[in-house]
Amino acid sequence: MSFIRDTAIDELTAYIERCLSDIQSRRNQLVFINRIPDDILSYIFECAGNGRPFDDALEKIPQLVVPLVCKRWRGVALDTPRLWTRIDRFTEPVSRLSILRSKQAPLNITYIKAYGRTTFVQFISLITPHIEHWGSLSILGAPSDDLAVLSSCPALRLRLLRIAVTFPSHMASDVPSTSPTLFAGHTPCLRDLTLERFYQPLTSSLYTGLTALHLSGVTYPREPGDGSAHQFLDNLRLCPALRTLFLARVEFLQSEVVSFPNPIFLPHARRVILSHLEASFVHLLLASARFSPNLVLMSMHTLDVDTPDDIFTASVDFETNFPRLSSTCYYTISFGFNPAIANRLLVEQVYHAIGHHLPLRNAKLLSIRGDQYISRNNPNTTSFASLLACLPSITTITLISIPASCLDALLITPASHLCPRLHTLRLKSVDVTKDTLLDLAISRTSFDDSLEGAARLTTVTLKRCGNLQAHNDLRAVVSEALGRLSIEVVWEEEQLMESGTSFE
Amino acid sequence: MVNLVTSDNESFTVEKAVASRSVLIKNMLEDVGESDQPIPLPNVTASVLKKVLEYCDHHKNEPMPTSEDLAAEDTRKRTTDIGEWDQKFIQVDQEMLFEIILAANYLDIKPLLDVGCKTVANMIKGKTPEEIRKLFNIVNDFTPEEEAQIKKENEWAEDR
Repeated sequence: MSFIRDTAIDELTAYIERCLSDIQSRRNQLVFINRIPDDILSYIFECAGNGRPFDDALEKIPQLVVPLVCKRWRGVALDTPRLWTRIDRFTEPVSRLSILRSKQAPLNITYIKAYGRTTFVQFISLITPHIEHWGSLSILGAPSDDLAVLSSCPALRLRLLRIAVTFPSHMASDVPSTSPTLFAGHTPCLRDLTLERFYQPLTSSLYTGLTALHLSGVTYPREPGDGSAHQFLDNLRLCPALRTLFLARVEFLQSEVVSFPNPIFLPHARRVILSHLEASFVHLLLASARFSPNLVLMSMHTLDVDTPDDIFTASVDFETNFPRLSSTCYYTISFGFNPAIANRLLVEQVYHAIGHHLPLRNAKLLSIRGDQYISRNNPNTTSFASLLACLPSITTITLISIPASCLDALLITPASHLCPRLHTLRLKSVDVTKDTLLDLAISRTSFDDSLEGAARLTTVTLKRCGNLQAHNDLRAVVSEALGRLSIEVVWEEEQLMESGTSFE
Repeated sequence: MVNLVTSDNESFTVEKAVASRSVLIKNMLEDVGESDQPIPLPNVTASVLKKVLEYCDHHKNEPMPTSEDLAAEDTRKRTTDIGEWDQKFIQVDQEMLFEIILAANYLDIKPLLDVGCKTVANMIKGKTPEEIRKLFNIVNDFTPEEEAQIKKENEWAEDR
């Protein structure tokens, strides 16, 4: 009898609880956040579930918190597979649940050794059976050898792969034979590849079809057909949609230039950064690649340049390969030489080569930063004049740390009127004297103005210009003398205080 | 100029470049061509439209997201980064915040929808379920039986 009574009470209690729950659910429908449709709530959950959590305690991870708020949120969260695709140190304790709830959505996996409570092999073993669902994989700090667990299975949906291994063991001669070839070389959807200190043979299909390629600290060894610069360029040819190319400290041991390959068209390239590469490889790349007019960043830092011909050669046609250059208005040319190997002759040659090879005709603003170690006499006036002769449209020149003697190139003589449209000259750390500056000012304001479009000098900005700036009396004299020529003199420190603007 | 009429019958005359931040309005304008006819927006009130137009005006010179951009974003991880101006713009009370989200969704202004959603996502991050309920005035509508079941699921998930 008591059993029947207890059962009836339990059923009644359950019924009341369900009724109460229904009432509370209906009340929840009225709050502001629950007026928004499921698809937007789902998107909000996705946003909350990505990025670094504000609090990495497991009980505050959005993936676990959101389904506990109310029934509607739970329904939406469990029906948002992308909320569950994150597998990393924050969600690792619940990775089984995540994989289950992610359904078929591509998993985003990140392993960072410094944070991991488990080894890479332990971490990856739970998710390797689901390799067909991997969408992105980032590994930072795992030992190279541990990556062998990734060698056997294809990753058919992998779009992003980033690997930075702990030790540059690939640089040792025995490594190519021991470095695992990832995913059996089968990643048909891969678009974004980053390899830091981790070698994969250039014959691998990992390098094809990419939109972003970052290689850093990799030496491609002397394996037949495996490590040549030409093989690398062939791979680029198979990446016509490439948007980003980043190569730093990458060596191709077979990069001797024997012939130039056919042009490689990279119409979508927007960022190209080449850092600490052999000059012969840079030369080969620049001579082969045809970049987009939309290229927004091109940065080069080469090693072992013996002569400007290493970069600026007849085989590199900058106007063809870099169509944007000819319409560029603003150039910055910066010289940074190792003082131990600074070669004055090289500096002179580079000045000549820049003017000769780069399409500077439309440039309006030019900034040249010399090098403090070798600037005392470099460049000489002749070299500097040869560069200025290529700048017919220039209106503003900024010179930083170059010898004052270079200013002689700007003097107007019956035989020379370089930079005819120049109206603003900005000098920083140039040891110019009062007399040199006055001679230049007179020359650039009192010429025969029959030359069409010629401009007179109207502004001179000075900062840290040796004695000139150190003595207030001298400043006043210079300001007054140039003022009489209708030239405004701006002493940069004063300008800084007044307007907050900076020289650079 | 484009004339927009809200659900509470208020009229707004705005530059075409501003109104066209809304894909809905842009498509309407393209469909009807040059016309003086006002465009009715029955799902947006004047107070909300005013705020939405403030956003559109500030961003009117930025390139519209292309389908390529949207596809690329779809493959990237969602994040909760919000620009400085947008952060100040979206500092409104909850009612207005969700009205803006609904309006951005209706008017098809993806960047504004993103700002709204990311703001709400940031409000959720780092909080316990109880703290979230309190923040959004939600009540716990799980029955004790359901709560027990959920707890069991989570214990299984953590049992490795």
